[in-house]
Amino acid sequence: MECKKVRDRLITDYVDKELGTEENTEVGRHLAACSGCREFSEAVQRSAVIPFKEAGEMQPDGVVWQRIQEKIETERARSGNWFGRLADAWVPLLRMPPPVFRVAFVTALILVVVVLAKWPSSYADPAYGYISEQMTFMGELRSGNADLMNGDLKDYDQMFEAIGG
Amino acid sequence: MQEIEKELITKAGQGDMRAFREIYQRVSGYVYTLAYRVVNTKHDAEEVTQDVFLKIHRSLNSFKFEASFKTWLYRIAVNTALNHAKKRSRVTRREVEETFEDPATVTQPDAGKRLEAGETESQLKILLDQLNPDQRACIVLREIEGVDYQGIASSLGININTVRSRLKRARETLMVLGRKEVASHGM
Repeated sequence: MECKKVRDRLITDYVDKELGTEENTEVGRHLAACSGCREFSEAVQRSAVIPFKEAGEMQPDGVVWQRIQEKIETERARSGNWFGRLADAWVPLLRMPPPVFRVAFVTALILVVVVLAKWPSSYADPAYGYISEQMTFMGELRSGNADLMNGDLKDYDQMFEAIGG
Repeated sequence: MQEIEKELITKAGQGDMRAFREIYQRVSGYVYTLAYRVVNTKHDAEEVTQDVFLKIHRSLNSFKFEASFKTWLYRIAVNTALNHAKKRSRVTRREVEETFEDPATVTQPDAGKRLEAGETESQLKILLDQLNPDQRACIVLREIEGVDYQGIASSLGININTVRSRLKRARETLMVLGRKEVASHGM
């Protein structure tokens, strides 16, 4: 194994005992024969491993528990009334990143434009339904639909009158 | 960190504040220490500890005991600390990208000299301060908590090769600092 490859292992898997038995033995054999890699291995231990061995556990100040307790009580009080629950439901929305708002705004804008563009012709104009009906009738008439001819002649007369016939 | 009994977790999940306080007393040292190592200031570590316990309190009642409480707590603590550190780094513009090729570039110019005076805690603080938050989290989990690569990968939601490369870069950085220290002693 080359020194470069060995050093890559020495700084990661070897020092962390993540190597398989075979590769571990191979690195160990290389170390026994190569003083440069031995020095490298010692430097890894000295600078990046040993300093952390003496790290102890610390304790937070008592004030941290007091703050946690206060927050929990505030949250409980909020969840007890409907206004608090409603406000809480909006909080995640406010925390969303600005791009989400932009996308939502553009989508809403497109929807509004589409609805407004369709509204007057499809629903608001009272003549639309009548004209559409007439056009269908004329089409059927042109195609010689016998059913229509045998249908209610009162309707037929009205329609014919409407197109000035 | 010792495991917490199922009964105590269930009680706390049902809103028993005494049970929750008992859990806090038993694991807050662990959470605070982990947070402190990652965020590197007392004030930020306290904020992270507070956030972690609030998150735990909100979700204890839905804890399913599929994973151990310890693993669950671990994941919440390290990710909350890491997010806090990243946010803080963005604010202070001190984040060092791990894509840097030369580890010497992430070392503060006078850090080698500052190591001389340090005791264990301040030495650790100086060492960890050389690393970016992602590298710091990996080093803390590996060197201080003794978590293996697979455990680090699943706690942080990254793959094993990313763990390996972050540890490699972190250690290279620490070795550069070590060499500077040796050089300054030799002068």
